[in-house]
Amino acid sequence: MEKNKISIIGCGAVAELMYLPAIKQIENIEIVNLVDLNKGFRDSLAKKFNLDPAICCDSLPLSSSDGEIALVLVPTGLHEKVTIDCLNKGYHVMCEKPLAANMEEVVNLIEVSNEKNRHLSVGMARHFMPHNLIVKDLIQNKTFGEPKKVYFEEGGAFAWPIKTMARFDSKASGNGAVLNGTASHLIDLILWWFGDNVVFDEFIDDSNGGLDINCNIKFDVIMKDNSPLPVEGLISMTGNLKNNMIIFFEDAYLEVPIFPNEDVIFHSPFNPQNSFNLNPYKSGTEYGYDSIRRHIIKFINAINDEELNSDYVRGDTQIALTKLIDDAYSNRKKFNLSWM
Amino acid sequence: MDVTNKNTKVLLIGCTGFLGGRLTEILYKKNLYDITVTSNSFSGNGLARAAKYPVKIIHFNMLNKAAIEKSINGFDVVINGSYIKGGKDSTKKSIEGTKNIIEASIKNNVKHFIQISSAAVFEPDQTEIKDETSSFIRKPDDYVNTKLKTEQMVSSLLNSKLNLVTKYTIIRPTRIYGPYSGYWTERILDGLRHNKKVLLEDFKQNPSNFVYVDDVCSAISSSIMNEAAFNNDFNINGERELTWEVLLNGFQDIIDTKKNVQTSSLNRIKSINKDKVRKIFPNAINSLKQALLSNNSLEIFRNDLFLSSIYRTFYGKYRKAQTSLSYEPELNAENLDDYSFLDKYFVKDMIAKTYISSAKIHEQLDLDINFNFEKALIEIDSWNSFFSREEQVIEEMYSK
Repeated sequence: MEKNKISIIGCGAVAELMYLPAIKQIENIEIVNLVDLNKGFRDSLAKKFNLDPAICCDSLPLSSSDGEIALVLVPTGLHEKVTIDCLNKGYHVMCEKPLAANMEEVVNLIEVSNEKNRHLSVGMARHFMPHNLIVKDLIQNKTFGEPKKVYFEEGGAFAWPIKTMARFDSKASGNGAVLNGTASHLIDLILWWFGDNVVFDEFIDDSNGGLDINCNIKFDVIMKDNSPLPVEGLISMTGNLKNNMIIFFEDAYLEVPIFPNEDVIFHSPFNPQNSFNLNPYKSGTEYGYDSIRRHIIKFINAINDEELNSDYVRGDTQIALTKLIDDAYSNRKKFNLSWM
Repeated sequence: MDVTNKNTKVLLIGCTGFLGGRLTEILYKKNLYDITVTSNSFSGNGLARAAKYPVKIIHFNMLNKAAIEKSINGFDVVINGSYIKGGKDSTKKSIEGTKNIIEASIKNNVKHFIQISSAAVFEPDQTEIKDETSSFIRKPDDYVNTKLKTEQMVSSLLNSKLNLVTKYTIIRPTRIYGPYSGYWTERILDGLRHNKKVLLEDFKQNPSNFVYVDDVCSAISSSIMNEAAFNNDFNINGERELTWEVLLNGFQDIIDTKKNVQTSSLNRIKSINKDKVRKIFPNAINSLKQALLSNNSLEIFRNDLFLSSIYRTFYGKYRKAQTSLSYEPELNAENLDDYSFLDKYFVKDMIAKTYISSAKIHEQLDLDINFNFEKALIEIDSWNSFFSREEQVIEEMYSK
């Protein structure tokens, strides 16, 4: 069987810590290009993962062979430009989240991928974490009844080992930090679980001519019966938050961890004896890149026509999320906290 | 000199931690300076806080002399709070890095070099007041040793007798508390939240030497390009009345006004520590016994008439030692955990009577302390509530 060819564009921390460890565990895949303008980054990555130094380059070849994949792992502000370049060269593209910096760019990407008849995916790999799949089932089956509210938190002192200042550079980061960079994962999950008919409510952040570093967002998901499901999120790049999502039901709530290997907890505040834990990770440790590996396999299967209706995360699922983020950034209010 | 000129270019080095994060915020809000923040690792709370503002953030490795010289070019003021953490070479590298920064500042005609040191360079003991003239600690730990040596380097390389363009100021904050302070705020709130013993009853009236972070930033800010601060050193501390008792009761009110601060006596702590040490001996002797008895060569001692008497003598001594060392610990592991907050460092800090005076900076730089403890607590409470939002949301949902 012919190996699937894959090119990596962007040799920063996400490539090193997430995508390359994931790819290394996939059979029948061959990395053919390791692209970065910074020679040191691409060479050290090749060395670390025992790849042929000859595959290191500063740009993709002008054309691709049939079925080739490009993984776009550059800063958000460059997603649109690099992804379009890849699509034009015939690659199927999986782009790290968020798909692009704003709605205009996202729509453009979807249009180009349709024109070129190429698959376009976004790296929302949390869909493939076992506990998130369980939660989706619980919600769809209405196991605990109708949801009443969703609250989510993610935060800690920024410690992602970035290699450049792009994350904190307005232009390179796509003009956003904690909402489009950090919270987009969680909001995407909520829209995947409850539906993507959303109405923006409020966005408060601490940007002072720079980027959003702490923020609070509120919106409603309009459910199938037209009832609004209020959603609130608090996200921080400076302080410790609980790092979980709470789905409230009439008289109980589900506590869903953001990271794998932790229990999903059903809390029954009025009847604590009815509370229980679900642990989908009993059989072994889940690594951060395991969900990325599953996502890439789904993507390859779709390209190879091996899995009908492969549920990889498609680019066009990002329209509602991107519109919500656009609405938030255009209607931002400022926290009025003197310690901030 | 003109201090109201926005063209004063300030470089903040090693400011990606708690103090640096706040310093960037405060200096930016003053709207007086063109600020650049450096980062070595591109991570840290302070770095994210800096990114809220349109300040420049540049990569900076204090051990790369050539790169430093280039980076410092064009700055009027360099504020250095860098400290390389961890590893046996931490002190050596921090000193080398500071030397590189000072030399690059001299070479680039930086007008003012401000070194952030620590009041931990003064020994906490039974002396009631210490100030800038007091002698330094004799047996410093690695961190304090680094601060001492870098201070010495600053004052020798930038000595006023050398008539350099670059003037220096050394600022020595005491224990800095406030939002995001890991050791002096978050850890204390956490201890109180878990009902740990946090206060030594016999020493509760001793000064805490806690200074609010914004006051430290004001001290640094007021020294920038201030001739009265040139080639000078200053301590910065909070109110003398802020005793450990006042401090911890204030923090307790943030967590739960209905509960009291849990206290312990120093004797109790000593007895617990003694218990911990004593526990080691019987275990060690038992392990030795097991090791010896499992050795076949010892059979000869038991079977030979002469050697067996030696064996019995030693075995008797062993039994005696084991009996004398055996004890029933007063507290089980669960209760012991109540005392885990009061580690040897905290105890040492709390039993000292010393108050670090910062009268000099108030007099010479005309610095006003803006934050009394009450005002600081309001800020900490607001910050703590912000990061405890989930509890509030759950409570709101089910209290209806």
